[in-house]
Amino acid sequence: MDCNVKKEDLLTFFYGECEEGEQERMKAHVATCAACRRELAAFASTQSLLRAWPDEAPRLDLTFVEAEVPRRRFRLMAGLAAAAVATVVLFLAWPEFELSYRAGELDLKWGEALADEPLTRKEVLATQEGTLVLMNQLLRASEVRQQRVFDHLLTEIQAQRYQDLQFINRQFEQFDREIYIHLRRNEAPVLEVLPAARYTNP
Amino acid sequence: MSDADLILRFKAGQHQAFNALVWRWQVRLYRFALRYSGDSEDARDLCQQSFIRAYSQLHRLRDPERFSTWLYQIAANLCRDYLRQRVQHVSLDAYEEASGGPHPVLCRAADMDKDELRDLLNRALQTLPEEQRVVVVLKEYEGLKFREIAEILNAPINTVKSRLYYGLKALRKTFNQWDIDEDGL
Repeated sequence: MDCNVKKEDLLTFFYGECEEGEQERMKAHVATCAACRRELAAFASTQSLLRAWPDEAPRLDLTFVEAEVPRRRFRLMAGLAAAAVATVVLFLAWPEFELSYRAGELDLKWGEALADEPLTRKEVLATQEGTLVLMNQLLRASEVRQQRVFDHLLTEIQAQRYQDLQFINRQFEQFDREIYIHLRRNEAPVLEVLPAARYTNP
Repeated sequence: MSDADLILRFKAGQHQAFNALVWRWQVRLYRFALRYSGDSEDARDLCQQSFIRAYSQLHRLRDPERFSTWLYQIAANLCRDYLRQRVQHVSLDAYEEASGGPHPVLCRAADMDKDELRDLLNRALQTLPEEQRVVVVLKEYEGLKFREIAEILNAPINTVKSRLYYGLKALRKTFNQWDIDEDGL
C-alpha cells in the first residue's frame, strides 16, 4: 500500500467493524486514496469468489445417547423389586391381618373388630379375588412400563449401533485411502517387479 | 429456546437437551470443518468428535452465552490437530496425485457447475497455511466478528486481522494464477 493506513484498519473498515466515527473517517480517506480503493476492490473480488461456494446441508443425523443404559436397567430392576416389596409390606402392614389354614378351612382375621371372628368362605373368596385383581393391575402396569422402557432402550441402542457402524465404515474408507496413497507412492518400483500389478483407487 | 436455556437444562440433568444443541449446530459445524479440513468425510468425523468433546465438557462451561464460541474453539482445535497429523502422513504430491492431478486451469467461475466451483475453492483454500485458512473460513463463511475469532483462536485481534489480510491476498494470487475471475457470479 502506498498510504499510511494500516492493513488491519483497512480490513476492519471493509468488514464494517470500525468503532463509531472511525468508519466515517476511513470512508473519507478511501474516497481520496486510490491505493486503498484498489485494496478494497481486491478484497471484494476475492470475497465474491469465496462466497460462491454453495452451502451444503448434509444429513448428519448426529444423536447423542445418554451413556446410562446400565443405570436404567438397574433402575428398572430396582423399580420392579420395590413394587414387589411394597405389595408384601402393604399386606403385612394391614391392621390385624391374619391368614391361616386349619383342618381344611382357610381362616382370615381382619381388623380389631373381627379379631376373634373367622371370616366366611364367601368373604375369604371375595377378598382373594380383590387381591388378585389388584395384583394383576400392578403386574400389567409394571409390564407396560417395562415394555415402554425396553422399546426406548432398543431405539437408542439401534441408533448408537448405526452410528458406530457408520464410524467404522468411514475409518475403513480412510484406511483404504491411506493405503492407496502409500501404494501409489511406491507404485513405480512395484510395477517394475510385477508389470501386471495394478492398484485401483478405492 | 436459546442455547443458554438448553445448556441450563443439560446441567440440571436433562441430558437429552444436548441433542437439541447438536441438531441446531451440526450443519454449521460441519461446514466449518469441511472448509477447514478440505474433506467431507473427515469433516463428518471432526464434527462428531467436536460434539462428543462438547458433551463431556459442557458442565465446565461457566457462561452458557459463550457456547457458540466455545464450540467453534473445540472444533478448531480438533481440526488443527488433525491437519497437523495429516501433514505428517501425506505429502502434497501424494495429495495432489490422489485428488486427481495438478490444479485445473479454468476461466470463469460462472461457467463452472456447483461441484467444480466447490472443488476449486476448496483447493484454493487448502493452499493457505492452516493459521490463515481458519481465519478466512471463520470470517468469510461463518461471518464471525474479529473479536469472536480472536477469542476462538486465543490470539490478539491484530494477529487475526493480519492473518486474514495475508490469507485473502494469497487467495487473490492463486485465483489470478489459475486464471479464475468472478465474472458472472
